[in-house]
Amino acid sequence: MTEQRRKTWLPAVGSSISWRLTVATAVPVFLLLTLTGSVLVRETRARYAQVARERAWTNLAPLAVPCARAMAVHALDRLDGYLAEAVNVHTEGVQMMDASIFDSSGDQVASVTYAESGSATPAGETSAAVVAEWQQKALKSGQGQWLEVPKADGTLLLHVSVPTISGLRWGTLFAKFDVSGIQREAERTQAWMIGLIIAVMLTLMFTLRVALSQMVIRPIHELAATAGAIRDGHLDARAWVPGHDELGRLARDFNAMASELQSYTHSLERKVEVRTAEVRKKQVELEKLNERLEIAVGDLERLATIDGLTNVFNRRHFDATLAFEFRRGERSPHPFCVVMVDVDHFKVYNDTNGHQAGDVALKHVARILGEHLRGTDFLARYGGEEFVALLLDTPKEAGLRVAEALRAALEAYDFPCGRTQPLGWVTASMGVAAWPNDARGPDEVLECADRSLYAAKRLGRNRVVGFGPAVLATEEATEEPTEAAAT
Amino acid sequence: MLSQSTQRTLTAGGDVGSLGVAMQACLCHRFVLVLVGSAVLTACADPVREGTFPVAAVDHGLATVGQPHLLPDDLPRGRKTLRYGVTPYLGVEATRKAYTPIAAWISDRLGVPVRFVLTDSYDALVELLKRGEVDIVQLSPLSYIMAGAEVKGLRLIASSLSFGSASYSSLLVVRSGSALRRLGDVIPPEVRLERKTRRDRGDNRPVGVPEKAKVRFAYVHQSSASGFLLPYQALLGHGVDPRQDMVMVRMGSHEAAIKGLLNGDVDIAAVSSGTLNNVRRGVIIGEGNLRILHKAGRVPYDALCTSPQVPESGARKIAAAFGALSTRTDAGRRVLAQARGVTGWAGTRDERYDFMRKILPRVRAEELRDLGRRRGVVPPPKPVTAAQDD
Repeated sequence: MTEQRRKTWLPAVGSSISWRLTVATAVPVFLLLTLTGSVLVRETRARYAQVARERAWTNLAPLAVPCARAMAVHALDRLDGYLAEAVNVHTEGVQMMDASIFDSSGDQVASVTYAESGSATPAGETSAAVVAEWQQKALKSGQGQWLEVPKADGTLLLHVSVPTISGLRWGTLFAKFDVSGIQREAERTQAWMIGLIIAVMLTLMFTLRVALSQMVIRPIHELAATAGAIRDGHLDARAWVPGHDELGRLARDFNAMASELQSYTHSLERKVEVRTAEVRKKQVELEKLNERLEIAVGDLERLATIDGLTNVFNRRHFDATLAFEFRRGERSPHPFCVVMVDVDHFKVYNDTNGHQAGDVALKHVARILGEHLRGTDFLARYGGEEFVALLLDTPKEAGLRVAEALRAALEAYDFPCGRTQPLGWVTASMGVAAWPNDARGPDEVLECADRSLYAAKRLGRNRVVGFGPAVLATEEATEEPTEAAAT
Repeated sequence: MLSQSTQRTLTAGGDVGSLGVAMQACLCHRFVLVLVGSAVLTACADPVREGTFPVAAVDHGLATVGQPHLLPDDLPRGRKTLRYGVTPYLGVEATRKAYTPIAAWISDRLGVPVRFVLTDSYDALVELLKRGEVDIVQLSPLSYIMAGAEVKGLRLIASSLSFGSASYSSLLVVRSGSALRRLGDVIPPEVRLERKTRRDRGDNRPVGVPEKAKVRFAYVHQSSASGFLLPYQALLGHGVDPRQDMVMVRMGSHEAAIKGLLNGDVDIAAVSSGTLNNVRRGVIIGEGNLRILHKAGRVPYDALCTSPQVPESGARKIAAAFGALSTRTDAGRRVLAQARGVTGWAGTRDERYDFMRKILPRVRAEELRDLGRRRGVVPPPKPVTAAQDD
């Protein structure tokens, strides 16, 4: 799902909602208090200016009537005295610097200057022109006029005019006031006001910040921490419920959701445990079956390769081994010998002692042969009372010696019913053929060994005959049937 | 004008949602800018450097006219001259000497001959006014009220100024050594106490002042506002019936009242503040040792009126001519040099005389009641003294 970020008027101040809320509350507070402060400061300045004008007017206006009365009787000599006394009046924050009276014709008829008015010089000729223009206007006006002119040091000079009226307009009274005292008072008040506004601003912003932090940000942080804990697997974690407001409802719903998730997870875990137990049980059973199968396979393999009576390899396995060794010998030539063993007069033994005893005798023969063969030699029951041994890495002379040793061991062993044999003991005849001396292929070497065995039979049994010219000579000389010689 | 971001959004063919977001952002930015701008402008705004005080002296002013000369239509029908009636308040010769230059100046200003007429009294002047024999009259305040009630169309055009003032005080003065400290002292203390006791008991029978204890009260005459009307009203307001509790002495003029007081003929005198000032300046009878017991009120100076025969246009030109004459100019000072204390004429309104219109009936009623008592029409209450009552 694509998350579309909503465009807001808030400036992108970090990614913290705390900062955004702080900015969202602090900026309007700052702007509104700044605007309010500006209005208050301006209003204070205007009020103090008005106070200055009212004090100046209060100083000057009462002087207008006696001046008018004096001018009515043309007692102009009194005017200087009136003005001088007025200039000597000190009013807090306002000091009359000079005063003058103009008659209805615009001529100055009296003037007085305050002794310490040296510093009350207006700034520049422009101000003088402004004052002159204003005086001309005031001379014609029926109302009192005022004019503020800045001095060089930044303070103000207040010019005030009062029409001198007593029945008729007799003239105009002008006065110039130094209002720097009131200005200083106004500046002090402004400084206090600005400081107070800043304090209020900071207090308000701090209060809003704390209130937002406690009421909004902290619950959100708690909720986020709880969500993180649940994400990390602590399903028993629960959010702090701050109250019954929206955040409280959100926290309660979140907790309900977490509880639901926890119970669902628990139920899933229980199901998994049950399923796991079942799987383990099945696995045990399967393992048992596998063991039995392996045993069966082993038995099969053993049955396929081992002779059941003598417990040596059977002929099939011998053929496969011989073919393998033959292929291996073709790749890296190493000589081997095949020894064919046949128990002499075994039919007699069976007939005399029974097949049970015959089987026992065969077991003894196999055991004796196995005991006297080397570890690398291969013994198999070839069929009936015939055994065959594959002597690996054995040249023909060594093979003949091994065969002779085998024959001697059989001869020396005291079979239980050996006395029933024609020779008075149990013997065996052996034919030996070697590869690559006597044959080229596996069947051929077996044939050679078998021919050697028959040659040994013909030569009187209980002997070892290696394949060679003697065998051939024997075969040519003997005419008697092979089967008779074999039995 | 939209911001660049908004324009980009519109140019890119954004849907309604994106346009709304852009407009919202634009408005929010503008709101912030307006706030900041207002704060900056408010903080940096230059203070007003010039202005007018919201108060001014009452100045009704006289109308100025472009053509000061009277035209035939500005004159009473069939007349080519104007007659200016004044009472000889300075004395006949002095008044003639003072007002002849004024009439001449007005005549020159209006371009028609103005003849100066002197009468013996305000009543005589009102009679001339009724008969249409004067066109311009200078009446005392009380005479103006009475004439206004009798002469329909009497037009008030100006009020004279004395020493630059449009009104004067009505004073009750005593000698400096007088035992009277307050206005109520004209009634002996024991009588005051008896009256209070009776009033508390609900007894409305008057308690008279013994003849020997009565204070002698000098008034100018019954047509004088400052010399009779206002002081009489003040005495009534303080629980004093001048005709019952005092011995009233008619003096005829302010100066006579002052003289009687200084001579010891009377104990208290009702005079105008101008007369007292004249006494103090030694203008009339030399320096006097007088004390103001009570100020009865301010009275406008003489009312300058035109008769009903004078058209309104003519009245405006006459008012403008008198308004142009004052001690503000050298010429005005020369003309008014002999009119002792007159410094010019100023505009006025009829409402300034209303307070006397309210006082006059009460005073006249008291006079009529006293006249009735004296003639037996109204049986006088049996006067009792505190001693008799006891």
